[in-house]
Amino acid sequence: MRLRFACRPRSIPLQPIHPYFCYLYLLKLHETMYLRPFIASIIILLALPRVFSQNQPPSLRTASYDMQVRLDTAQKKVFGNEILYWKNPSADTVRELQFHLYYNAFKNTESTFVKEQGGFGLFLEAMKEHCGWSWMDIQSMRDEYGNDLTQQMHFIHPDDDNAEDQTVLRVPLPRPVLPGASIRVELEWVAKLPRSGMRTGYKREYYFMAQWFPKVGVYEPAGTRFAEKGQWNCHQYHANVEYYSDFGLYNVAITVPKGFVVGASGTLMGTKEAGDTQTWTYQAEDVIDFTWTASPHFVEVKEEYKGIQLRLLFYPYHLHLAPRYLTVIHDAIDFCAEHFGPYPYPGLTIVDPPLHGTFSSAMEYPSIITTAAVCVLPQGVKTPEILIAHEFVHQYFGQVVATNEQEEAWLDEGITNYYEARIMDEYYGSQTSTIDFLGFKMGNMNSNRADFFGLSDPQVSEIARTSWQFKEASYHTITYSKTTLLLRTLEGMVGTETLDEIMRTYYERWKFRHPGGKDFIAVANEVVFQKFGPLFGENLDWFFEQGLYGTGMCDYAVAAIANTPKPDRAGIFKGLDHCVQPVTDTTEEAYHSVVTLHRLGELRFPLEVRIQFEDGKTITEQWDGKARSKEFSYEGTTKVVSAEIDPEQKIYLDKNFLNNSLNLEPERAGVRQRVFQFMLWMQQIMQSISVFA
Amino acid sequence: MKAFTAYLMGYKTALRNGRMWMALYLFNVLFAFLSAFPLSGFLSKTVGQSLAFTRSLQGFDYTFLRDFLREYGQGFGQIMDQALVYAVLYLLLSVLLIGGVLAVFRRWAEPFRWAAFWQGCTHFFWRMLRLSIYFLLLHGAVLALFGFVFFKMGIGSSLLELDTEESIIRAGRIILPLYLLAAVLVFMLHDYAKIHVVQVDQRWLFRPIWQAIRLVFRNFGKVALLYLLNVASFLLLTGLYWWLSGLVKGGGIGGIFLFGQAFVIGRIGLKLVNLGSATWLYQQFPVDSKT
Ligand SMILES: [Zn+2]
Repeated sequence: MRLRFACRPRSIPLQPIHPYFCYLYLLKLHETMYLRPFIASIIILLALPRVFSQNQPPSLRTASYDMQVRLDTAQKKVFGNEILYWKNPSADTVRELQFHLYYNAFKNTESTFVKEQGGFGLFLEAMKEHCGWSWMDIQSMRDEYGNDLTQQMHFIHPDDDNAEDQTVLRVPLPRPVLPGASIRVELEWVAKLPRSGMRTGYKREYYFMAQWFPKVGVYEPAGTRFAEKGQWNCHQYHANVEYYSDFGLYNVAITVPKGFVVGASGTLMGTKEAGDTQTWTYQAEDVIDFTWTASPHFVEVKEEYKGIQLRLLFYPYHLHLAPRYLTVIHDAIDFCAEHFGPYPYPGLTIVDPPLHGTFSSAMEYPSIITTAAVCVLPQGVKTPEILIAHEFVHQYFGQVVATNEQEEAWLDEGITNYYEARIMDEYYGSQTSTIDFLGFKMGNMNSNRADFFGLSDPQVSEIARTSWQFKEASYHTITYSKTTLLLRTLEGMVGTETLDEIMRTYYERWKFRHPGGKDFIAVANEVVFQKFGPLFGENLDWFFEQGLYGTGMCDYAVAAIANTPKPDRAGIFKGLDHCVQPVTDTTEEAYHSVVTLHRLGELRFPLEVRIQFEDGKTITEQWDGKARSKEFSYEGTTKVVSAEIDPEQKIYLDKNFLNNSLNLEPERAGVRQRVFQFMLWMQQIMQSISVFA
Repeated sequence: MKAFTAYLMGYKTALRNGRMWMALYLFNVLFAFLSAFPLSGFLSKTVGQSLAFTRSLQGFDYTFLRDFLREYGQGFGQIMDQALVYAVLYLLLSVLLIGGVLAVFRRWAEPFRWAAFWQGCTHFFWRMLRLSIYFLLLHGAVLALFGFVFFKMGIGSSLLELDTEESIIRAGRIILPLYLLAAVLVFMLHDYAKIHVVQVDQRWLFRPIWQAIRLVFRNFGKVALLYLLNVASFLLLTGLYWWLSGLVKGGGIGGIFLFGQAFVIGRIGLKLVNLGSATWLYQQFPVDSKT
């Protein structure tokens, strides 16, 4: 491992502008001209013959942006000039645009976001106290035909009847966008930054700019996800909810005071100083968003790993954590490359926010992620490792497979959380991957199970639910942990290899697109049927119906083991006058053994049951797990001594592993061991408190 | 030199009163046993027949623990509550016994007599109890004071407004050792207050407490050195226990349990050494320094 430390960004060699970028730039320049197709063809033919053969963009680039923005650190404002190139991806004529103005969520106490958050606690208190409210004001908007769109634009609230919410802007278009056609819209705007808002804003000299510019919503053509006809999908900013947006090419020039270090989505194309400012120009290709951060206190660690430019941004007192971050990011890169495909972007920036920047922690954006740590962090406490692994998996599920986190959060958070557990358990040990400190050990997958079943009411909601309709605090646990358990159960049923194949196929098929839950299930059905035929039924709909759309619990138990001596054969059989007497001189006793199993929960999964006999013989039975009660009977000269349902814990959704097995003989030595241990602890505790006597 | 002599005399005193030492140990065993006993039936009834329990014996098993607490947490909680009651009762018992111990040590040169011990226990119980309450309050006040200073120094008005967590660590580095010193000082004052109360045998407490505090500060060097020796002995014993307990793990629960008993006996012995040596040292100070 080779680390490079620098207090200021090292001179990053200016990379030649991507040829495809040149083409697009010129294309955009001439878009207004009626000669556009002709000029574009000439450019393609003359200058860039290789563009389409080798550099076909992986996404449709529906929403691309050119932006010049200036951060005013005195006023805590960003001034932006934005050009949006929006391509109509549907067969519809689109007559309006819809924009997210997320910063208006922090404008006052009446926004849907603040109302749903119930005030978001201390953050809101701090906002009130320091008047750290934020807003986004679009000062002008024009289309490429010179029409002023500013007068017609107005706020809408598609999700609730909160007329005071200003997070979605509707812009009617005087000249509609025809099917497959594009439109260019120029905006000038000012954003007042929130003082440590939710995930975005500033605190002291730390700036984290997420959801910071007017961002167009997603126009979903008929057939996309839930869309029966073409429609805008542009939700208000809700409390629990993250984001959904379209792919595009971003060229962003960020002007900050000289001395600030900037980190952002995409690739740094160059920096230029002018007076007391410095402009950092970034380009991000085929991303659904653009996020950046700036601070004069960032210290940089750079490394190239398997062709990926890694850049870590720290406050100086966290710099010693760099080796831990690099270790886990290497592991995550390797794991994801092996299981889904190569990391699709040229670089990745990991931001470690200072304590006062915690508001921005633990988030994922295209090729830039944030973690969280404190400077004294024992090796056994894996919080930053977990966050880095998690946010990195999001680059695949959430960013590249761009699902709608507002409507189907489980698709990115759940899948990501499951693979976070897989990565952590694989590289840090299944019993120690979350905490291994002072004798306390907790694995990541284990902790998900504990979290979910630790809910006071784990049945309060199904997984597949629009995020903002989770009114309960259980949103996080159900979306993240229950989905993790569901996928772990699927892994148990079909095997790790098949599950990974489902994910690889799903990723490959849906990368740079917007799948929905039904698309994921279709892939799962297809892969499992290809591998196993009808072994699990015609499809896995029964599995997802129970797990995703239902709230039932799973609990199987071994209810009883009975070994009754088999009576000798006696009585009248053939011939009414012939009585068979019991044979009394047998030396071997025979037994009729019955193992009774119960299904205590509502969920049903196929299971294995392991029966152990006194003579050491073991039988593994299959049970479809459907009936409320099931018996396995045996006759022979040996007794059943134990029975265990699902001995390999494949059905991870089972809420109680303790009743999954029954030993005929109680574990007396074990009980003694625990009692002795407890007694010894009590002796020590009592002796310790006696110092106060 | 007096402190070293007192330290050695502490061992001599403890060893001369081996029966008392054993009695203290047996009380400890009895109370711990009473608190742990219900666990046996409870575990047998709930998870004794589960293979998950058998597997959990191999080490720390988070999944087992969480399932156990979720399924049987209520019953287990009752056992823990009961154990807490036993712990509080043990503290009260220790208050009772300390009077006896100090009464015996008052005449350390005489052979041990049970009658003197029990008489000391009952005679000084209420005074020892009040002393314990006063010093517990003092401990609480010291903790609150240092906690407040730590909060102000390390965090300020709010954690969210903090620039970096470095200030918390810096404050911790300064405040924690100071707090430990202050807490040790309170323990030391408590010890000498107990000794003084038993020696002068006065009904009222505040005057003897004040006299004990004055005595400690007048002879601070010797008293502190002796206390340091006793604290160091305890740390040494604990360190040895942690180090060796890794080695006896192979001996199974029997080995671990017996080794644990040796440690408890050692801890009780060191407590007697501490009180015995402090009593001896106290007796060496001139009478006028005690009034
Ligand atoms: Zn996530």
